[in-house]
Amino acid sequence: MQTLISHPAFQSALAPFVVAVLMVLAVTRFRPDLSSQWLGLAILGGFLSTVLLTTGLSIWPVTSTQKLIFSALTLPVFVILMEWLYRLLAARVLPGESVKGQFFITIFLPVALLVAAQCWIIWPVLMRQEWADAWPMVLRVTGYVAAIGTIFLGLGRLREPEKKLAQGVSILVLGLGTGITCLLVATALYAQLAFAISASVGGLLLMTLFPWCRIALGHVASFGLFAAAVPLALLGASATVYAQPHLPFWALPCLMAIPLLAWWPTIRVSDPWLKVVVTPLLAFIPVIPAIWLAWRAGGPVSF
Amino acid sequence: MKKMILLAAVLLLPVTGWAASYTIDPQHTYPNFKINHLGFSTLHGRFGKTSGSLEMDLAKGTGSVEIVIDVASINTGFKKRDDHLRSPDFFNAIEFPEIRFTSTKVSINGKAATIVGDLTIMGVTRSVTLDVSSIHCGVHPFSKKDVCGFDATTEFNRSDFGIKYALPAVGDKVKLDIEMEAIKK
Repeated sequence: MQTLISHPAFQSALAPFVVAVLMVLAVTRFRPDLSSQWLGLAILGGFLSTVLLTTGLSIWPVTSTQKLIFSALTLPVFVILMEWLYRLLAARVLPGESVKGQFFITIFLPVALLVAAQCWIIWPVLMRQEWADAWPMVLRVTGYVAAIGTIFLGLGRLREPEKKLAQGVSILVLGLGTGITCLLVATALYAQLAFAISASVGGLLLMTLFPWCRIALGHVASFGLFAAAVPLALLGASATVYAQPHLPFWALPCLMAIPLLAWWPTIRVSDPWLKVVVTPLLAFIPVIPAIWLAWRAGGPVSF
Repeated sequence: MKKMILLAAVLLLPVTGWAASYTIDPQHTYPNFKINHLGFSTLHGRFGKTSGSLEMDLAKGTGSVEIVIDVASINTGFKKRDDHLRSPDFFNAIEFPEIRFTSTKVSINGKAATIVGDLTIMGVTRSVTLDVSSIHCGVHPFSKKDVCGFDATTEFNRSDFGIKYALPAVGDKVKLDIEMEAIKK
């Protein structure tokens, strides 16, 4: 049993997948009225299972990895709070459908927190550098997490059924891309945490294939997308700082292109089953140059 | 009167001794470690860069030691593994570039000694005891400088310092051997 539990494939693939599936079943059974909003719990649960199996859930010592895990588990909840706050304000204070107010509360504030979390994670490195040397790094990592946060929270706001598969697949492939690139630059823990997100999203997406779950195909919702986007953004950005060798920065813009490619088949392909196959394949195209860059920096994986 | 005090001081000198100060010789000071790898074998590695200082009062049997180890200088003979050991999975060399040992109590007994001190890895400080053997102080045959050297050894669990990745597959217990030479200031 111990051999199974300590195997990386169990820790970062099987365990989060099973936990995510069980949590989707629990959410859809007990709160079918709210199920789509709470699907993010399946991703958080899957991610938490991998954390418990790899590093354990400890606060001390406060390392960059602990900060990353803490941010990944807490920030997504903020999206739920902000959406609740927006609905409250929209009903009482904001005039009608305030687009600016909605953007500020439900997208800008969570993304600002995500950026702050990334700065907190790299703070020990910043403290040792002159500002003139540090600002390009700060700009790169905060720019990446802000972009990923905004893209996926923005995607989460799209309600059209045909767009939902692209949402889910984007985050699934972003997890795979982040995991593979981190593995190549010798941060197996970062890779495992990224693969855990992919496995959790995979479990969730699998459940959306079953009509009795009453979830639209590929639907992850804002909370779920942010629950997955937060750790993946932080892992990718932090790998450019803490991985040895560093993940090349240009791998990150490649990963950012994943949602754009995932979008294309929603327009061109009408058959849903073909869409399920084609969408991940297309979304994976930007991952290839990212893998190549990471391979050049880190070389082949060894055990 | 001044002459009397000076004479007394000179006479007492051999009895009390002097706490001599030394600077660690980085070319002859290497912390070596051993750790179990997946139950198959014992992996050996070393840190290539160290610095620090040493004070020894052989007559009183006391002293102090401070050793600073450059984490990025880890070498197990395979670059990819060294990169992994420098990564956040293990030592996180970017965030925590140093391992530091600062003695809190030194008891020298002839050629052997016990050094109790604080070992700080990844920001976590734990008390460990170095068992020291083969203490030898003398004049270096080539440089003609006063040199002291010894071998020290200790054991600790890496999980106590928050390094929990790949437990228990990669062993928890780390055996640390330090071969040290220091040159008198």
